[in-house]
Amino acid sequence: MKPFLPAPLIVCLYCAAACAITYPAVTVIATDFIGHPFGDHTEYAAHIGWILHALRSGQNPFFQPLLLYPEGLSAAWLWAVPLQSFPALAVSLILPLDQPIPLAFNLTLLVTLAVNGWSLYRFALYLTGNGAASFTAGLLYMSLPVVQGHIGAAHIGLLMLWPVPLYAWALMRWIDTARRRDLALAGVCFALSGLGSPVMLIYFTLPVTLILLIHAHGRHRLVHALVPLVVGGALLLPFILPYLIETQRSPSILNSGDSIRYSASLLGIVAPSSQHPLYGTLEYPARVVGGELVENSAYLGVFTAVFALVGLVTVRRVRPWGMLALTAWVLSLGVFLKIDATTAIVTVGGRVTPVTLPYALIADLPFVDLSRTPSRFNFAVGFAAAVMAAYGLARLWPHVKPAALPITAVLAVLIMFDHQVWWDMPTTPAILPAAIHDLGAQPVRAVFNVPFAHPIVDKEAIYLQTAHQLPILGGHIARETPLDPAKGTLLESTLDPALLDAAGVEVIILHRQWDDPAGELEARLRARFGEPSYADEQYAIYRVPTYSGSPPTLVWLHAPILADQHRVYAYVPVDGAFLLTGMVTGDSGRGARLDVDGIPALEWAIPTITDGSAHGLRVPLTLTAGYHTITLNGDPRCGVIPAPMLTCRRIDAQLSLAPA
Amino acid sequence: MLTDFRARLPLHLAVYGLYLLIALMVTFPLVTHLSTHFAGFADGDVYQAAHQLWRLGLAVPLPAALNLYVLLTLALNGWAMWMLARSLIHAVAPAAHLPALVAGAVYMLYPTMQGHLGAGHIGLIAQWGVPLYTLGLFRLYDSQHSRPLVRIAAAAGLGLVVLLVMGALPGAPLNTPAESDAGEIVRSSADLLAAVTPSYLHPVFGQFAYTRQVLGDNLTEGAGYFGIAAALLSLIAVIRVRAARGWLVVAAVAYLLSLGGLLNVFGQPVRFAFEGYQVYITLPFALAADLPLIDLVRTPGRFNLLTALAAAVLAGYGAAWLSIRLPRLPSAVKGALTLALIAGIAFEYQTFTPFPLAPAAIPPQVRDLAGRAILDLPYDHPVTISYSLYLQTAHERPLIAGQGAGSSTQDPAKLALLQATLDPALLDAVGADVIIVHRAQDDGTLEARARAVLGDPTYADAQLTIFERDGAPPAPAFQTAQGRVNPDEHTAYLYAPASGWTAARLTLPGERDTSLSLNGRVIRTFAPDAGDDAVTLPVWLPAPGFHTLRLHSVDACPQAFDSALRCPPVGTLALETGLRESSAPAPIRFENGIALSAWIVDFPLQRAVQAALRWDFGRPITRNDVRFVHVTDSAGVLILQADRPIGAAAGGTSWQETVSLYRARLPAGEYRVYAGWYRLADDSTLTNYALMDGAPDGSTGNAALIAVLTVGGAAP
Repeated sequence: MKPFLPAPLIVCLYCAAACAITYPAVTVIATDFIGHPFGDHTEYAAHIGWILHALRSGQNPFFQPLLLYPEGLSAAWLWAVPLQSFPALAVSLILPLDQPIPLAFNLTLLVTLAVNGWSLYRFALYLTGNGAASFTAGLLYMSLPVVQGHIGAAHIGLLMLWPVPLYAWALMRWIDTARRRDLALAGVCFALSGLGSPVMLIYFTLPVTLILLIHAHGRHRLVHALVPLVVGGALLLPFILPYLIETQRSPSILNSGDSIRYSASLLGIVAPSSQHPLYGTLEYPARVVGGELVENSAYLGVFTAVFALVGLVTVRRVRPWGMLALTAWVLSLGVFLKIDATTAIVTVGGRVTPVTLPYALIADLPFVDLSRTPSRFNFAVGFAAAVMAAYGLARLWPHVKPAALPITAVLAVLIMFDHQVWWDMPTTPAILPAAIHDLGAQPVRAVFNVPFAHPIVDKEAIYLQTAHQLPILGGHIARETPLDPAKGTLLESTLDPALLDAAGVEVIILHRQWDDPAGELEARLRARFGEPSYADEQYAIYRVPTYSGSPPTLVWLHAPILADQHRVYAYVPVDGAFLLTGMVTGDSGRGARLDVDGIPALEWAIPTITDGSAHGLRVPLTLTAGYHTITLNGDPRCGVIPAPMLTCRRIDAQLSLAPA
Repeated sequence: MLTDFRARLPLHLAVYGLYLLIALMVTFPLVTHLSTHFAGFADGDVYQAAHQLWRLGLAVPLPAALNLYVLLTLALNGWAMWMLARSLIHAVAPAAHLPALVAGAVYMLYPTMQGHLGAGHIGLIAQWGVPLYTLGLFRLYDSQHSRPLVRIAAAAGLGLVVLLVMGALPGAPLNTPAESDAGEIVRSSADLLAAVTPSYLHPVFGQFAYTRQVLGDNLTEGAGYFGIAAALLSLIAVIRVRAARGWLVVAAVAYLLSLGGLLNVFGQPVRFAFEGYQVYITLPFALAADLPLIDLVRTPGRFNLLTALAAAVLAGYGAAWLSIRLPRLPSAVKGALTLALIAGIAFEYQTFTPFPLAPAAIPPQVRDLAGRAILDLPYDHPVTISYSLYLQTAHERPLIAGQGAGSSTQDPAKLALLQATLDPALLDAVGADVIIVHRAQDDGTLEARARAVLGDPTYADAQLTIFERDGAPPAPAFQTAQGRVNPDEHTAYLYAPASGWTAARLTLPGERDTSLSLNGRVIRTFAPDAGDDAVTLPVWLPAPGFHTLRLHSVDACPQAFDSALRCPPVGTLALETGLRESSAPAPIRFENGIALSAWIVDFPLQRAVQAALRWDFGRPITRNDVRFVHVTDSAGVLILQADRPIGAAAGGTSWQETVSLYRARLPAGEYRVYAGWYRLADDSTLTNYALMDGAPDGSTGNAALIAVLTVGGAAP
C-alpha cells in the first residue's frame, strides 16, 4: 500500500478543493458566514458566542438565561452535539480578533470538508491499496452534492462526516485483526459520528455498520464486531443523556415534522443542481429538487456513478456496498414516492393515496422519529458510492498509470464541476451594525424581535443578542422558538403598551427583510411608537415608552388559521371563569373540536340548520392567569387534499371571549 | 416410444382416476345432480358458462356437459400438477410418484381454485396448462441443447403471440371493452390474512368469526388459504430441500401481487394518517395495475392461482423429503399414508359445505316463447343478465340486452328507457315482443309497472313473470328517463322519433370543470365559477333514436375519501319534454376543421335574435379563435353582433350554444344573420376562417348566412 502523495499535501489539496467548492466564501471569510441567509449559521454562531461568553464570565454554558425571557432556555442540546460548536469555539479562542466567530466558523467548516475527504482517502486506501484512486474517491466524498446542499445551510454538525470512514476502517481492521487500538479507534469514531448530529447515527453510521457486519461471517465474529458499538455507545452516552432527559420534559427539538418535504425525489439521484452553470439550463433539475437544495440534493454525479458501477461489476467485494447504496437510497425516498418535487398521488380502486415506501415501516420507530429527514440517508448513499468508485478507479488505474497525475488532476476538476451545487456559494454578512451593539449599553428588561413567528427572525434574533447581550423574548436552541404563540401573537398583533410592559418588552427590533410585504407591521410600529431609534435595510429598532398605566386586562384575538381551524389567543390577567361565545357554520354533521392549550375541551357535530344561519357556541371556560390558545378544529381535520376536485369541508366561525 | 407410452398409460389413468374421484368427493352432491343442476352458485357466472357451451351446439344436455367438463378439468389440473411435481421431485427423491400425488391434490383443491369453481368461472379453473407449460420450460432448461434460456424465451414468446392473436380476434376478450373494467381492484384483491384464513363455509373452520371478517363474502376472488398441511410440508421443503427454495420466492411474489394495489386487513384497506395525508398502504401491484394487458383484468386475487402452483410444488418436495425418511415402510403403507395426507388436505381446503348447485330446470313456457326479441328486466342486474342468457338456450330468441363480457354492451339509453317506460310503442319499435321480469332481482316495481302497461302476464312462477306484448301501437313519441346520478355525473336518456332540437335545463354550482356530452361526444364545457348557475341549453339531436345526455365532471372524485373533505356536486340536468323536429342540414364547413352542423334562429317580438348553434370541431380550438354572429341590414351595415372566444376545445368535440342579440327598435326591412369564425392573435392580428363548403346562398367568403329576418313596419 503506497500513499499517492504525502498526507499533509493531500489534506492541503482537499483544503484547496473546499475553498473552490465554497468560492467566493474564501474572499469574505472574516466578514461573512458561508451559507444562505436561510441557513443555520447565525444560530450556531450565537450558541458559540454564548458558550464563549459563559466560559469567560463563569456561567453555565448549557443554560441560556437571556433566551425566552424571563424563563431562560436549557442548552443541553449543545452538549449533545459538541462537534457543532466546540471546534469553531476552539478556533475562535485563538484568533486575535474582536469578532472572531465568523472567521472561526468558516475555517472550521472548510477544514471539516478537507478532513472528510482525507478520512475517505484513508479508508479507500485500506480497501484498495491504490493511492490515486483513493484520493479521487476522497474528493468525490467531500464534494458530494448532498454535502454541498448542507454547506448551503451551514449545517456544520451534519457535515462532520469524517468519523464514519475512520470508524469503518477501524471496525474492519478490528474484525480482521482484533487489535485493541482498532477497537478504541472504532469506538471513538462511532461516538464521534453522532456528536456532530445524533441523527447521523441513524442515517449514516448504523446503515454502514449493518453492511460492515456482513464482513464478519459467523456468530463469534459477529459478537466480536459488535464490541466497538458498545464502546462507542458508552462514550456517546454522557453527551446524549442530558439531552434525552431534557426531552422527557419538552418536545424534541430535532423533529422537523416534515419528512415528506425532506425526502428525496425518485429522480433526485440523477438531478444535478438547478444552480449549476451548465446543468442548470436543463429544465428537470429545478422540477425534481424544487426549492429544497439543502436537504434534497441527492445527485450522485456522472463520474461517481460510472466508477461505482465499474467497481460493482468488476469487484465481488463491492456488492455489500452496492447493497448499502441501494437500501439507503430507497430509505432516502422517505415515506411517500416523489417523482418530481411533489408527492405522487395514485388512484387505486377509487381511493387516492400517496405511494407508500419502506421508510414508512421505520418512520415512527424510537430515535428514527426524532428527526424526520430521510433524504439524509443520501450521506450513506454517497459514502457507499465513493467506496465503490474507489474500487472502480483502482480497477481502471493500471490502464492509465503512466499518466496518473495529470489524469487525477483533470478528473478532480471534472468531478468538482459535476458535483457543484451552488454557483456562487451563498454567504451572509456577519458584521452587525453598531446600533445593535449599542443597545446593550443601556439597561433593558427584554428585546422583542418581530415578526416573531418567522424562523429566520428568531435565528437572527439570537445572533443579534451576541452583540447587545440583552434578554430576548424569543430565541431557541434548535429549529424554532418555544415562545408561546399566544404570547407572541398578542404582543405583536396588539402592540398593547400594558401587555408589552407586563412581558418586559422595552425594545422591539423589526427584521424588515422578513416583515410582511405590505409593511403593515412596520406601519403599526411607527403609529404606536413613532420613528425608530435606528433603521437600516435589515433592522428597525423601536424603543417602547415606559408604561405607567394600569395592568393589562383580558386581551383576546380571533385568528382564522386554515379552512377548518380557528384560534383564539388570550391573555388572562387573573384566574377566573370565562365564556367563549360565537357563531359557527359548516357542513351539516361535520365534526368539530375545541381545544384549550392543546387539551380537548369540547367535541360536537355541527347540526343541520336549514335556513343557512350559523349555530351558536357558548362554552364556559376556567382559565388561569397568563396566555392561552383556544383552538377550534374540524374533526377530523382536512389535512392534505389528495385530489384536486375535492375540497375541504370548511368551518367558518366568529368567536369571542369574555368574563363569565 | 409407443410401447413406453402403453406401459405408462395405466399409471397415468390411475392417477387421473384418483383425482377424478377426489373431484367427485369435493363437489358432492354434484354427482347426484349431474343433469339437473350446474356446479356453482346461481348468482355466479354458471348460467353464462352454460350459454357459452350452448353456442357450441353440443349434443349432450347442458347441465351434464358443463358438470362433466368441471369434474374432468379438476382431475386434469391434479394430473398436470402430478406430472410437473414428479419431474421436479425426481431429482431429489427417485420414488416421486406418491409425493407428487400430494402436489397434485394441493393444486387441484387449492381454495382459490375452489372459489372460482363456486362462481362458475369454468375458464379460470382450467389451470392444467400451467403445470404442463412449466414442465415444458424445465425440460427445455434441462435439455442438452445449447442456449436453454433462448429456447425458453422463444417458447414463451411463441405462446404469447398465439394468445395475443387469439385475444385480438373479433369478439375475443382483448377486443371486448366491457372486460377492461370488469372487477373492482380492491374487492378483487386478497386480504393480507387470506393465506391463514380458511373458508367461512368450511364445516369446522367456518365457525371462526375471523374467516368472515377476512374474506367478507368474497370467496371467489379472496380465497387464498395456504393450509396447515401444505404449510408444514412447504416448511420442510424450504429447510431441507435446496431446490425447493426458489418456489418459496415464487409463492411469496405471487402472494404479494395477489394482495392487489392496497393492503387489506380484515377485509378493509389499511389506512393511516401521516403528516396531513390520509394514506393507504400501496403495494407493488398498484404500480403495475395500469400497464397494458394487466389493466384488462383487474383481479389481482387471481395471482393466488400461481401461489397454488408454488404451494403444490413445495408440498410435493416436503412430502418427498418425508418419504425418504420412511424408507422401510411397505409401499402399501406409504400409499395409505399418502392418501390419508391427501384426505387431510382435501378436508382442510374444503371451501363449500355443501357444494353449491344452481338449478338447471327451465319452465316449458319459456321454451315456447315466440316473438322478435326478448327483454329481460331488470336489465342492469348481473344475475338477470346471466340467467337471461341461460333462458335463451331454451327459447332461442334474440335478446334485447344480452352480455359480452362483464356487463351488457347494449346502449344503456335504450335499456333504461324501455325499463323506465315499458312504453308499448317503444317496445314495438325495438322489437321487444316478450318481457321477462326476473322476480328475485325486482323489488316489485317493475312487475307492477309491467302489469299496469302490458296487462296480466302470460306466465308467472316464483322466479319469472312473462309478459307478451301484442298489437301494433302507434310510432313512439319523444321520451326521457333519468339515468345515473352522483356527485360526478348526472345522466338523462332520451328517445327522439326524428332529428331535431330539445333543451337541457342545467344547474351548475360552478365548483368544477364540467362537460355536457351527447352520446359520448362533448358538446359543451363549463369552467368553474363561470357564473352560469341555471342554464337552458338547446341540444341538437342529429338522428332519430336513443340518446344519452350526460353532465359530468372532467375529473371524477375518488370513490372513497376522508369525511373532512367533500366532492362538490357537478350539477343537475333535466330535459324538456318536447322535441322541435328538424331535418339535419348539410354541415357548413369552415377552415380549421370547424363545422356548423345545425342551427335554428328565432326572432321573438322582432327584437331579439336567438340563434341556437351546434359547432363541431375537427381540430383543436384555441383561446384565440373567436366565434361571431352578425346581423346586418339590407345594405350590409352591421346592426348587431356577438363575437366570443369560447376558450380552448379539443378536436373531436362540439360546442352547443345559444347566441342572443337584442335591440329595442329595429327599422322595418330585411336583416341577415351570419355566423363564422376568425382568429384574433395576441398581437391583435385578425384572420378570418374561410368558408370551405356547404355555405347557403347569400353567404360571404367567411360568414355563413344562417337566417334572413324581416321586420314589417314599425317594430312593436
